[in-house]
Amino acid sequence: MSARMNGLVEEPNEHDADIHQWIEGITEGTDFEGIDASRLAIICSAAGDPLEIAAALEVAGVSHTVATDRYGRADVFSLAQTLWNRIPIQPTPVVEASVHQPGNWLDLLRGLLYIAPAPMLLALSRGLDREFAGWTLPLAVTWGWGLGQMTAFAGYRMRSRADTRREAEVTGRFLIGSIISTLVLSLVAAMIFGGDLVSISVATALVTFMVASSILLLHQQQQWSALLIAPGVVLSCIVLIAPLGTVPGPMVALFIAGSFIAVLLRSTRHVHLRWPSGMLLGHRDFRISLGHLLHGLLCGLAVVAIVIQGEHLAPALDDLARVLVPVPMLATLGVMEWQLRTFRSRASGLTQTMETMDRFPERAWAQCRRSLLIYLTAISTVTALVWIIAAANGQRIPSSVLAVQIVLGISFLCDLMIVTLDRLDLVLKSWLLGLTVGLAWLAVEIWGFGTAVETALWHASCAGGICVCVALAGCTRNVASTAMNH
Amino acid sequence: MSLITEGTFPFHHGGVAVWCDQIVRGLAPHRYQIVAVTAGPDEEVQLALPDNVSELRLIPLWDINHRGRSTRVGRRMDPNLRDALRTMLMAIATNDAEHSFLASLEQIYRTAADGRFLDWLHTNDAVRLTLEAMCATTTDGRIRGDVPNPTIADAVAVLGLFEHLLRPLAVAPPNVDLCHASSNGVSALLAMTAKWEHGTPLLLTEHGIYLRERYIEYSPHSMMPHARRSFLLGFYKRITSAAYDMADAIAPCSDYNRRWEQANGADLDKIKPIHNGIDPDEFGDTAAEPEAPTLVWVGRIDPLKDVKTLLRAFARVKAEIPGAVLRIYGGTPVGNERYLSECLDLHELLGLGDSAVFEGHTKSMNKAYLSGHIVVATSISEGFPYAVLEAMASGRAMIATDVGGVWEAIDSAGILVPPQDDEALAKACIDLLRNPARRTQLATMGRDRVRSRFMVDLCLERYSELYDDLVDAAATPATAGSDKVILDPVHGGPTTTTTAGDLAMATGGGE
Repeated sequence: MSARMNGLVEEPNEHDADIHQWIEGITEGTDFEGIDASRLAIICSAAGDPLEIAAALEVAGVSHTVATDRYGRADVFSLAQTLWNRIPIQPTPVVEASVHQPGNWLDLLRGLLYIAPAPMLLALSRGLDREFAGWTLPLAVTWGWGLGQMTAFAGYRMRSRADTRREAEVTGRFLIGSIISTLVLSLVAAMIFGGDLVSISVATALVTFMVASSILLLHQQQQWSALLIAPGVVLSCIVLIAPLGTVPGPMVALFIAGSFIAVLLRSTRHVHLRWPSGMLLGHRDFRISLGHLLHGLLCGLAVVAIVIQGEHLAPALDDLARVLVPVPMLATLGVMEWQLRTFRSRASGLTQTMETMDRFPERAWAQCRRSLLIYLTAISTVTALVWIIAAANGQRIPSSVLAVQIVLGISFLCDLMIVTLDRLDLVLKSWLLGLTVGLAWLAVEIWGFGTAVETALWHASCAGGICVCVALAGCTRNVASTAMNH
Repeated sequence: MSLITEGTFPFHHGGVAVWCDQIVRGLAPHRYQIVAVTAGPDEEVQLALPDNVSELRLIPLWDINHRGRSTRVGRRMDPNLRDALRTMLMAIATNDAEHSFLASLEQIYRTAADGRFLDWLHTNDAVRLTLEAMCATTTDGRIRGDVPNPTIADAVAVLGLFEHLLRPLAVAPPNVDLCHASSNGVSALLAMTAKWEHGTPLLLTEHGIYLRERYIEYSPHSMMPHARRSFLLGFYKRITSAAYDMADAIAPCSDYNRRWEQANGADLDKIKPIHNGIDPDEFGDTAAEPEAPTLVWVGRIDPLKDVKTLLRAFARVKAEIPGAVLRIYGGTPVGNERYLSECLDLHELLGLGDSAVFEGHTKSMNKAYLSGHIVVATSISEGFPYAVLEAMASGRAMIATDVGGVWEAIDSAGILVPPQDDEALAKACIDLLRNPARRTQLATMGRDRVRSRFMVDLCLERYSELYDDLVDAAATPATAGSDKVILDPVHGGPTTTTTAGDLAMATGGGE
């Protein structure tokens, strides 16, 4: 071990076994009793440059004066150079926590949470024994989806800047804005297409629920959504299964409205409501928020065009068959979540373990294909079951209605993968491409071939949906195989 | 003149912001374009801009990059750009003569100045190059122990940071008579582009040593994997060293900085230290000391200011002098909220209660200094801190950590303690609180020292001379009008521009 002579510390020679002890020898002095030698040793053995050691020495109290007066060096850099030469580079291993956890059964439950409003609406309609206006569900799904996406983006954006005050204010404004805007849109729709106060209330409640849920999701409080909505869901199931009139209408309305209001109230714990004064989002953030709004609107529109329209395509279907139509999409939302998270976790795992890029693209794409295949299997299985159950009841659901739903399901999974990999631009282009193709198809069929509007609309929806699926699938391969996206 | 700032003037308070304000107002015959490298695009102006500021440009470094181009799998980069990127990465890794960092930076700028290279950094090809360079990292003959191999995740993380740090290469370079970078690193990078494009002379001032602060920020305790940490720090070393090469003059604010700059390869002939200065008349000394024994701390809430050591030291002081009070003045910059929260947790853990108060940002520094018996500074990295000069000018005794140029400012007119040493700090505070005569002596010495050596007029005079020398020496003076510099963004990079009219509205017309 090195010796201390006349206030100077000798450099260690080749026989010095423990270099860390030598550092402790250097820092062991009456002036530096407080120095954390082990901390300094960690820095010295991990340094990539002598200057890094010099910075660490200074922070530990070895200033220029100390280096010259106490250790007899020209300066602190000279002392650092000695340590650099003598101490082997041997960094302390850092175990990086995985950012993306693989999907699990909770994702499947979350999927159930997403579809909860569907049986509630059906039960409300049955319990009150009245049909809602035709625009109610399309408006709620489209507008609610768009606002939900926008709220979530704005919230996460503020959170990424650790600006919790503004996050609470922004989400609060969106919550209030969603109630007011849906009321206005519903009133306009009611005036144009007809509809009563119940339809307006239902649309507003559904949109508000979607936005409130996105706020709870932002705060990792989906369990509260589930808990608060549970009474409404349970009663809805009873209403749907039991003979008509078993549960009084007002009771149904009370339970369902109560559940929605409970979720809304819970979400208000995370928002700051105050009179708006000035813009909370910067211009650029606002523009991206609009991108997310548009994305949500297009997704909602796709659901309306394919799933909701599909329900009404075959008027000959009985109630059960019509209820079964959207089941493949709704029942597999959880699988979608599960596979999305699993794919992200596995792709991220690849980047953390692979040491060359040679096989990364193909392996990442293989993981992506695996998730898509699992989802495809799930939605195909549910579709087959739906078809069989309907057939067993003497109902024949048109196969195109179910097939396009599978296409839409795949599109949504690709969409989610791409958006979570930060390529909203590609997703928007794909959806807009699908919209353009659909509209062009509609125009050609109606004005070119004189097809009935309803039929042409369905064909256009199918064409647009397939187009979106192809575009998104193409993008998914590129995006998923690019290392920088993980 | 183009004054280039990063994370400070006019959007954030602090020592560098004070210096920028002094420079712009004090050298008023010159007209200024302020180019502010900021975190986001929507930051609010906090310091009123004087009338001689004709333009405020923002370069939001951490804003979302709207990658308009698809990065298709297997798509390869422009060969010239690929060569330049490879050379730059290998220069970081190996530091050998074959790979010139500075030349490769210029080649990247000239090959893809429209910002295309930012898109290319997202390709698998770029990740492959980065990974290869990280694997080739040499240690200059240092004994090599067990070092983990870099992974794709390491290369991705490094490249992700480069995509932000290199953004100044994708914006229009200032076309002015002189670029004055208020710090090394990203600010200097923009000034370097102006020199490449227009031959604009570059003056570099460093307050805190940029590289040193990065070493502290990315210490092994930051829990960043070794491969990416050392490669990233290698990048910072090369870029700061390249800025010294490109600078026509380097004006560090202390002799301490001069030593670090020299150690990082700066040419001694270029270095002309100019100490910061203040107007001592702004800091009165008439107020009596408060009744309760009070320590005052002034600064932003930031890990470099080491508020935690302050709190620990105060806990020791309080144990000896139960009635002692600590007043902490200073705001918390965006991004430091977590550090503030840690400090508040420590405050609670130590049971300091109402005796240690976070007062927040104050508009009257003088009142802040005079609200205590002693002013304490606990930084672990400093250039030449204003807080020390101001405290001395206000007539209060000073205890500061011996970092950076603090000893140059204080000398024997205050007490120096080692950084991060709460015991030594507490002992100094207790001794001084119990010794009014010594306090008075140090306060008098401090005030006299500021008046004799650190007057703002002296500092401004030195800068004025330097400006004149550099502009005169420039072979090809810039052609842009000096009244109002509106730069045409020839590149499609992430920059936003505010003109003089907008400024008047934003700042209430300036002063």
